[in-house]
Amino acid sequence: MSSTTTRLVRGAERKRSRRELLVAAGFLAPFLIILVIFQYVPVGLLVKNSLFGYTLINPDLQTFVGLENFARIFKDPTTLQTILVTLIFAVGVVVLIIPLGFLLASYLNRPLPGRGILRTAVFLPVITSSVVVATLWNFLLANEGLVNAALNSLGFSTMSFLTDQSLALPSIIIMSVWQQVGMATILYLGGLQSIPGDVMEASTLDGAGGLKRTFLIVIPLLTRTTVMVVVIMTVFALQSFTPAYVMTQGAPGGTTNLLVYEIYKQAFTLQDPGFASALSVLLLVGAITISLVQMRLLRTRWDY
Amino acid sequence: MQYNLTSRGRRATVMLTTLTIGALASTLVACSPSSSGGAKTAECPEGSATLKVLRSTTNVPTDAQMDEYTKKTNDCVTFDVTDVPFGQYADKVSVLSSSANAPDIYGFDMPETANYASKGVLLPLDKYLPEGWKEDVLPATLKEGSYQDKVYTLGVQQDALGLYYNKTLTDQAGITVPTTLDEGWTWEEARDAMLKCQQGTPGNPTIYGLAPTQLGSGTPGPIYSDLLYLRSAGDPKAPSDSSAYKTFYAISPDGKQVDGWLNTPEAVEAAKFYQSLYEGDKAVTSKTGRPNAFIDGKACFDMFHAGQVQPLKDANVSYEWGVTPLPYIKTPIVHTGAITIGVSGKSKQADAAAKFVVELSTGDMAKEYNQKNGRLPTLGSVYKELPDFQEPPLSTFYQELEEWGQPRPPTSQFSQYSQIVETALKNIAYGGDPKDQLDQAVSKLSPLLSR
Repeated sequence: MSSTTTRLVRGAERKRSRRELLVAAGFLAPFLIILVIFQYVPVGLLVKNSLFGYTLINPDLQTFVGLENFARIFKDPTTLQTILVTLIFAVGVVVLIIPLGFLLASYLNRPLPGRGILRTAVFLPVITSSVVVATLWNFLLANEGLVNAALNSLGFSTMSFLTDQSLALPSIIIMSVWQQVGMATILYLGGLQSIPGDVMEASTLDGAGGLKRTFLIVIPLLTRTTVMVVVIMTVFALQSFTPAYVMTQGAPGGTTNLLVYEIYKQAFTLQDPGFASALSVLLLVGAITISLVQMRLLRTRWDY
Repeated sequence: MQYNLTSRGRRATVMLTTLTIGALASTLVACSPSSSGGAKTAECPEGSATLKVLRSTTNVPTDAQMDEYTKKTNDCVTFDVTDVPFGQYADKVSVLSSSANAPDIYGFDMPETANYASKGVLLPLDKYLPEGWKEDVLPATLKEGSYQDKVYTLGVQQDALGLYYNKTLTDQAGITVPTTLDEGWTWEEARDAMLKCQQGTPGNPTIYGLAPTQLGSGTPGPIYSDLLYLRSAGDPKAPSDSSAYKTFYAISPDGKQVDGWLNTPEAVEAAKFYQSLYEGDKAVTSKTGRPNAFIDGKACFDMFHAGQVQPLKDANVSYEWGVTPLPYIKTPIVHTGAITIGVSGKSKQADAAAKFVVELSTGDMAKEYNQKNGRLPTLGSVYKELPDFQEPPLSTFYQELEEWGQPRPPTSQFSQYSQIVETALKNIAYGGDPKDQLDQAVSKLSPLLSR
């Protein structure tokens, strides 16, 4: 091939590659534009707003306060309590949901009669509106609710699940676990089904029993799934709003005052959107940091 | 072939870009407020108008009122209504009022008047007031609907709390319930009667002494009802620098201070009493809501406003019932204020909107609304024409309003005051230390009120 022909071919390839790039850009453009307008621009505005003091009713009367809103976060005992409550809530949800999701997935991975119906039943709360779920649990956990009626019939006294300081947070953790365990189960189910059959077969031939297979083969091979479940559930828990808004309004004594609910109150009810923006920035940075740490700590050492 | 393929690609790119820009443009157009005024015609000599209304669900202005007004104006004035649940209404106003899409008419809670007026959300209506209106209206309504000597809302209705009682149950318990304001119970007397009438274990009764609240979010704490326990422990006739005087008002006259007003020794003692209604061996009600306990015959007493009279009549309940004046600790008091309507300070059709507001709040339309819904009239002239309000049970509410009525603590930061005090009262009902909770509320409110 002569050098002229080579140049012509390369030129045509470059041209084709450029045109393909343009086509790709054209197809991606709608999504990217929407992403920038509805995700990145608001985040930029959020950061900007966190440096100002103003009200929603009179947003034009802004005063630049620098990092004062961020300093307030660490000076205000109510906000510190809110952050602590949110972290406990997130830890509680993740710690309960991981083993429960894994156990349910292991069970639903077996050949069972009506397996499809069972899987649907487990996943149903995930796709049910969280307001509906919270309202349902509000009735269940009320002093006159079904749970207390069951306890009373067994001879136990009535428990104030949503108004007792020691019970309110565990109650909303359990409700959230009930709602989200289906998501963890489906993810684990996918993980279990992707474990190569020959690995399991080899371990059986080597004489490994059910428990050994679970702890030495299955769980290590599911590390990637576990990382995903932990990160997804942590982010979900940190962003949780409905239990506090619908069930407890942050009471009793702020023990269920989750961070996103506090952001909502600060912005709309207490008319301090600058402070709410600072809290939102903290939540964003916190969620990213926690997720990165989790991914680092739980990084996979296995590949298959 | 290669050329054709890239040509299709280019066309696809151009098409996608056009579609994207088109979609974004459509979104922007759809989000922009539409012009809603019309030119003057023979049918509509003052021009036609479509007024945007933001109201809390099922409240004023009602569909029937707007339909009637549209008919009255020969279809020259129509309405575009947005409904918001009552609990989210103040939040919605804070977002919408500064937007380019602000409504023309707000249906809002009257204690918010100072808040909205001070921020320019509402338009002063003085130039639209009918002659003699100020002499005709209840003083409490005039006070609550005004800010810095200007009237921002006329008030369509008034509310006052009373204590409904199930006469069948109280008779069974041998309780004689007072029916006049002079004989009204103190809270100690009322709680004794509630305990006597209650059936089952305190805290988990089969028949409640006092029905769990249905006001606000249906849980303890709404200041409309529960701040009255604290305020009634005060005394407006005491010297103005005394804590008894300050307890009664629960905020300084300029609406800027709560320290020494909300957390006085009298208020703390009253808060302890309030807590005893929910906790311990004298508990007469429940911390968790039980909708309709009174109407279902599962409660001896219920603290509610006059709006429950008509539903009780409609439900044709199987028991006898009545209304006794609201109990108090030291000084009788009821909070005034109800849902009302006002004109947006940003309205481009202020005249049309103001005429509608005035029409709805006065004369036949006000009378019709008050009569149909059993809500207390704000105008003396309307009251005289409605005999129902001059007989029990509605007369009890009206007398309370006239003799005991006080606005909720007036401040231009009412939303914040309401939210923070409600949280404190809720925590007290749930077992929190009354003094700590009131002190915390004061420390949260003080910087907000002073800004």
